[in-house]
Amino acid sequence: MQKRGGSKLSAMLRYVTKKLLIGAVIVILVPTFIFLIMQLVPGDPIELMAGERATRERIEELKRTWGLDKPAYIQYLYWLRNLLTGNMGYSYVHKQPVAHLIEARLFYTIVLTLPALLLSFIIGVPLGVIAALKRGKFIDNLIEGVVTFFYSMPTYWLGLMLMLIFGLRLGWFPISGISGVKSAVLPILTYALPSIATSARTARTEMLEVLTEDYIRTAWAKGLPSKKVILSHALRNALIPVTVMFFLYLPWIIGGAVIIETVFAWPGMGSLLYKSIVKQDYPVVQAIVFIIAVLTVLCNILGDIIAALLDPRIRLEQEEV
Amino acid sequence: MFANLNSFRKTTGRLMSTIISLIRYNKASCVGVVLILGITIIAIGAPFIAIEHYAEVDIANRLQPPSLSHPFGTDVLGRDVFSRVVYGARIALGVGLLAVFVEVFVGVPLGIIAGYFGGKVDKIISALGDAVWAFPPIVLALGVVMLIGPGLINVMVAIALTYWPVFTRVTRAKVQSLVNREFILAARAIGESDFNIMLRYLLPNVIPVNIVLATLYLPAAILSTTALSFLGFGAQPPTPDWGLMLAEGASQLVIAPWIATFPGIFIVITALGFNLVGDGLRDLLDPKLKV
Repeated sequence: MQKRGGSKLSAMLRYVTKKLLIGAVIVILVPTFIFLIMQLVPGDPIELMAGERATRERIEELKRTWGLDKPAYIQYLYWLRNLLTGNMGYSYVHKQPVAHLIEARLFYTIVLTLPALLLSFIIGVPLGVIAALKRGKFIDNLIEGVVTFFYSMPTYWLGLMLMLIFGLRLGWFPISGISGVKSAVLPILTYALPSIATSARTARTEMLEVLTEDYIRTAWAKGLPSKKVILSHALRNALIPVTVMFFLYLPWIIGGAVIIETVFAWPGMGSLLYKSIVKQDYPVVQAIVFIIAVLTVLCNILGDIIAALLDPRIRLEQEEV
Repeated sequence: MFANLNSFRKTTGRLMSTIISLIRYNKASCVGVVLILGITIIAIGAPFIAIEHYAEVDIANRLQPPSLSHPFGTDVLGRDVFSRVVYGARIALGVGLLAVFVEVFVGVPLGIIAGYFGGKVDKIISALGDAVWAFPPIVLALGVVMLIGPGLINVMVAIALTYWPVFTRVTRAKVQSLVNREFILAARAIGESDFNIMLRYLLPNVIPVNIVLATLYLPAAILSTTALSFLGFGAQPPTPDWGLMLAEGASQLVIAPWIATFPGIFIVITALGFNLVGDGLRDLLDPKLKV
């Protein structure tokens, strides 16, 4: 099973190439699947677009304009060819290139997700580590309690309650749409609180596990100062799976955008995906799902690479697919 | 058959004693058990607890704030929010349990097969699971709902099709740790068929870990199905689904905040109950389990 040879670097290169190839297959398969779904979905986007009173001729004309009079496989081949040249198609609803639409909205999604991710790392991980170190004590129970509470909360309800308290009652922040930096605060909090809970949970579990390892017992037995044992022995190793988890959850967080952006009427990718599904604006749906698929594959590979870089025990070449 | 029944009895017996020690030694789980019992009683006794039928429209009394006759106020059609929340417990628990049941039904057999046979079969099942799991659940579930259409049951199926890989992954790992143990080797030696080994020797041993998983993923199922209902793909009016009620309340947030507040509180109570019990069960049965 285990192949020998080459340095760690070349093994990693081989591994990455292989994963990228598999990833490319997935990235093509996912939108193909979505394309098939859309062929099977009842309802016709053109009829939606033309309105109820449109004549047969008008609908036929629209279909010709959008290339929808051709058989499905021709449409699919067109879409694939366009994708290879960087053309993601043309939105039925917005009547403009999908790439433009997404470009304008990507920024707004990043503005919410990036700070939320940073917050969940900066606040969540230390909370989890403290809970693990004080296992069973009051502080651990308190952190666990609060974390489980936020973990059990639907994000859209959290968003509504934050709106209600800080937007309507206290009037500190605008409740929806975008009007300046302040309007990003509530959506970011809605993202961040459950993410903080998730990363605190993971950090606690990993830290507890590392603390029972033999090498930690050895470190204590050697008489190393507790600061050194905890920081450079335990924490370093506990952080590896936590970091990997971050990469694995990145696509999930983008998925959460569908709900949070809809609640806050935030003009990002998530609300665009939601509206496009409702309006059967297939080119947009396909493009966003394609982007999420690419992101998912990349994050998975990055997670593996980072784990291998941080942990000398993990050798990527052993992971045969 | 006898061996099967016996191991089943042993498992249920062990489960009962587990729940008892859970209540005794773990305060958080004790709270969880109380919350779950409360929600279950509300769900079962809904017709007796509710003040009126969940779909009873009373336009004259629309958007009334909480009062003695309407403890949680009334919604935009004058329906009693309390009664709707009470009936909603049936839907949340029912949909959550069904979704987890489907997840177990799909995930566990695949996990046993992957772990038992290994090799190519294992690789294919694991790759499929990883691919499904890596993709954001809400987006995946939206795709399934687009294909099979909106509706409460469809949403439940979509969620189940998104979450089964957890059960497969954990079951597979458990089975891998068992396949080379003496009792499996002995079963092979006396000529038991693969099917029998999987059903009568491996399945009973993966039940405890899957009970922990099911408890921990029930809240996830409830949160996801209500999320899809909130977006309008799940339950349709006048179903008293908590997610749908939140969607109706969201548009009235400024003038009638109670409509969106109370269903949310009940979602949190339900999810919290199962999470607390699930955490306790994990600490007792399988402390190293990562979920």
